[in-house]
Amino acid sequence: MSPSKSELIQIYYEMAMAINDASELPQMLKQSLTTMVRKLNCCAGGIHLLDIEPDSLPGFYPAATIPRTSARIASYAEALAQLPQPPTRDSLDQFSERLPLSGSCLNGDRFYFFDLLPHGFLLLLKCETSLDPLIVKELLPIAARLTQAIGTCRQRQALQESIDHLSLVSDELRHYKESLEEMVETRTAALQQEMVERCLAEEELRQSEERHRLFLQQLPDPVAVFNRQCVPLYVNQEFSKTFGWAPEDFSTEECPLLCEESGEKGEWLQRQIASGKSLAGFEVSLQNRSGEILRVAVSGIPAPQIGDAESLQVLVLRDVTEQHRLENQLRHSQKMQAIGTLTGGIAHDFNNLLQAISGYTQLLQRRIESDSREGSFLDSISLSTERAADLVKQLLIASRRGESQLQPIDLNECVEQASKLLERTLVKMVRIDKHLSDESLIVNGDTGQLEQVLLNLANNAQAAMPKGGILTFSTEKVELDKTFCQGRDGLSPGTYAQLRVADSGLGMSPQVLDHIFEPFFTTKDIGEGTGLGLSSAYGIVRNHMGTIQCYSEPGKGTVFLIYLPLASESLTGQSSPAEYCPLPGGEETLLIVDDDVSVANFARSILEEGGYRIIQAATGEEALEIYARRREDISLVILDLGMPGMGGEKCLEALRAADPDVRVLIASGYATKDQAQRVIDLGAAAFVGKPYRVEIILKEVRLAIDSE
Amino acid sequence: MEHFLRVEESGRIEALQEICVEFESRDDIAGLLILACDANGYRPDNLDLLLKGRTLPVIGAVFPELVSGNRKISRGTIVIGMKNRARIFSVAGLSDENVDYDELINRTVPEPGNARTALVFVDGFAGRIAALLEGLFNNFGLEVNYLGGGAGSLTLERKPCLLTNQGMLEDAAVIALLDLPSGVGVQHGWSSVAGPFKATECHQGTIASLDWQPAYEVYRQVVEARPGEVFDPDDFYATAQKYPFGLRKLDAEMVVRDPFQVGEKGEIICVGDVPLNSYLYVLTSDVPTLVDAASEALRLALAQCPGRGEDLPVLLFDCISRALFMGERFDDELNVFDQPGRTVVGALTIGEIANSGRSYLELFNKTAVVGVIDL
Repeated sequence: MSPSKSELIQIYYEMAMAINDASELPQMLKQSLTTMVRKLNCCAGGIHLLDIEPDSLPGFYPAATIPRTSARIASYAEALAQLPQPPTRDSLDQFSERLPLSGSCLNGDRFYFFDLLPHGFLLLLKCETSLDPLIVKELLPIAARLTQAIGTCRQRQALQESIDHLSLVSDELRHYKESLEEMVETRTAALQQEMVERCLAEEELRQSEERHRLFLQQLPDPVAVFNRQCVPLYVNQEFSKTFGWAPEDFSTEECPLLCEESGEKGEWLQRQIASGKSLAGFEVSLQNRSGEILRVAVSGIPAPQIGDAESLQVLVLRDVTEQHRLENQLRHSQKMQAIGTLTGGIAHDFNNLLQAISGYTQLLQRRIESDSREGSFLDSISLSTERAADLVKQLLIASRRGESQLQPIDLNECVEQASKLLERTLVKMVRIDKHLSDESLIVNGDTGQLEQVLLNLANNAQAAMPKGGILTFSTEKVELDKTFCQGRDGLSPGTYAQLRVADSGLGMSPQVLDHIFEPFFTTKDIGEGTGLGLSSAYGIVRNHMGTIQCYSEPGKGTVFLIYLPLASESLTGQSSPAEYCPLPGGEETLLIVDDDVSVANFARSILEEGGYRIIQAATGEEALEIYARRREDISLVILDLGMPGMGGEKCLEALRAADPDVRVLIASGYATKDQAQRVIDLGAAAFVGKPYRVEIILKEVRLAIDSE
Repeated sequence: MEHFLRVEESGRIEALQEICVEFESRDDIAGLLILACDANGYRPDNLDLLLKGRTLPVIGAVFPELVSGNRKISRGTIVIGMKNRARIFSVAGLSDENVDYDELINRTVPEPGNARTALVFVDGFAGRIAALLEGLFNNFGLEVNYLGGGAGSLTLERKPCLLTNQGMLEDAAVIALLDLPSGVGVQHGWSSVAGPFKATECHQGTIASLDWQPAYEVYRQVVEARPGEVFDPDDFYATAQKYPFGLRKLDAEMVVRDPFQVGEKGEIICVGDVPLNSYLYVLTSDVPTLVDAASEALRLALAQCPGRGEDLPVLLFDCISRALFMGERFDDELNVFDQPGRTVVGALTIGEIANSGRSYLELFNKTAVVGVIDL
């Protein structure tokens, strides 16, 4: 049964081929060992490799054994006992030097160690038979081949491990790359979404900004956004319109809104802006780009601060200059109205007093020789009474209680007439310049009153030019619009004649300007002026449905502008002055109704002198009662308007109600033209103003009795 | 052993059923070893119910023929009631290239325990019988004597041929680990007449080329060079059974590979694997030599059971092709085993499984495997 040499070579070849066949170390070891055990007809075998882990104790480990349970085979374990114990580097080296090694076990099995150094050794166990020493020797090249294969496998394994590691790293890198790509993709998608959202948000923001910009632009008030340094960063159109600075101007020039007139309020405003505090309707004087001073109501709130952005303040700068002017005018108008009411009341009382003084003086003058000593006294009293009446008349004019006799006149002629008079009366140092319009300026006016206005203004101008100067009269036709007329009481848009009276005098301070039209306000020394000049001028102009304005600054002279509505047609119904008649009288019975006993007594005296029978009543109620009892006797009722109780007007209505044919003459010292017209409309026969002269009252009584 | 052995030659399932029921009713029987003839016609559809209904562990196979005493049985069943409980496990997919049987067996039977003998039956036409045996040897080593063979039909038809409690299996193996000692003898008596020829192309049991020439051509030339030998194109095996292949190993008989079929491309298909790059010899023998070899196998088996071997039953796994080759003179071989007072049962197998003495486990062909064991 022993194989031939060629058969052995075939066996070796098959074992060598098995060694070559495998690539993975465990597989190669198992396949090689299996073939060896099988072909050499062994009962067990094992390949033990040296532990090459640097940190572990030196020793061999069974890398492949056939069978798997070789360690439990007694002879196999006995063979392994040949290994040095404990294993050390030196002892292992010594053991390796003894290889190949063979021997017998107790049961007769033979073991064979083959050198696989530096990797380990091969152990084959033969039962019953032994390997021929020649075969053992010939197995050495196969063992060497196995050693080489182990080295190759290990290198391959190390290489594979490196490849695996690289592959792992590559996988990880790929994984990271994929993760990164996924993240990039996700992030890109998110960024795209963000971009879309941002675009939408920006579009919304842009639209919102556009809306806000339009909103701000279209706000009727000037709006500006300031930084804490009070530098405007943004302004709306109204701001540019009001203050003159457009947004693009801020890059090239400053915006000095604050000016000298701003004063302490301006400084306070600056501090408020710098500190980012809110403002509400704070009024301050600011200047526009042209240097014009505007009255501005400032409201502001700090803009919400976004992030680290600069703190801003949004200010609404409402131009209240016109409103302020209108308020001043209204206040002035109300003041003038109050003064008018006051002076009108005083004038009424004075008129009643003067009526009595004047009336009784006239009665006395009828009874005393005029060239007697008493007669001269009465003349003096009469003269003073007339002057007092004139003063009251001026007061009434100033308080617009006076009556004007309006008729179409040419304002230019009126100015010419006044100029001629003034050229004679003004000091020579005052030169009069006239710039009158070429066309006639027909107004419904009272020539005398208008001349009085011119004289009053000229007198004031002369006083303002102690060293002389120029007094200029200018007229022209102008169109006044609604804006101009707004706040000017009674003034309506239309064509007006403008009369400009300017002097080159000292001018006036604003404080003086505020009071110049008030009665009895004067800057002249005591005795040099009554304080009624400008107030009567104001009253006359207002009675002419016009307005008067004054512009003046200290050192810059004074300008008065008078606007009178141009007449479209002549006034109708203007009665010509009554012709003088001898004092008429009569025998009828008259009922005098007046609460002022002195006036009533004076009237009774005059009328009884004229032959009339007089019944007196102190109130309207009493008058009604008397008239009800004696209506058949009473031919005329002379009725005062300003009385306590039901008053004159209601009394008139009641009389007319009781007797539509009743004749009533209204006598009042305090009535406007409108009021007079109203009582005429209520059925009064005529109206006579107090204080009236004797001949006037007698004439009016007779006319009233005799009227149809 | 007579009390635990039933040989019925009807081949009827009912007869098998009766025997099984009888053995299962006994307390001294722990398992059933069933050897059946292919001629019985056992199929899963008629036998699985019986097998799955067994309360005792079952291991068995269907072989071309059986042996009882000194005669062959072509129809019928031998049932042996095993006194010792066996650990039986099966391995499916015996042709599957992807199965690591070493690991599979290790997983299935991690510890052989006190097993001394392993009965191993495989589908004789499975592709990876050698790998299975390698796995068995790697796991159980020399502590166990292996004994068994390949099941199947001489018609070469692949069909379920292994008997287990799960029914009949195909392309599988069934193994019983017994705690009984045994003696095993393996001998075939074939010797080379030509070679070596290098297996330059082969896979499992199919040899495509020898010395880079079509395997059949090489083989045919060798055989037909023998006096009076001519291959019948329609009956390859009639001639091939006389000229098996042999694989050389040290200190032992060659491992025989039985060529039983020629493929369309001139490849030769053997029972059992032929390693690539192995050297093959063409073998032949004569009846006396084979009978002597069988006798030697018995001797070797008995030698492993000193003192009482003569009394122990013989479990014989002899190759069917050996029997076919020997013809009527196969009885001479059977007579070698049949001695007074000795129970001889066994099967004529398609490949035999054993380890020769205390050497490596192999799948043999045309070999007499004699087991001496008191089942």
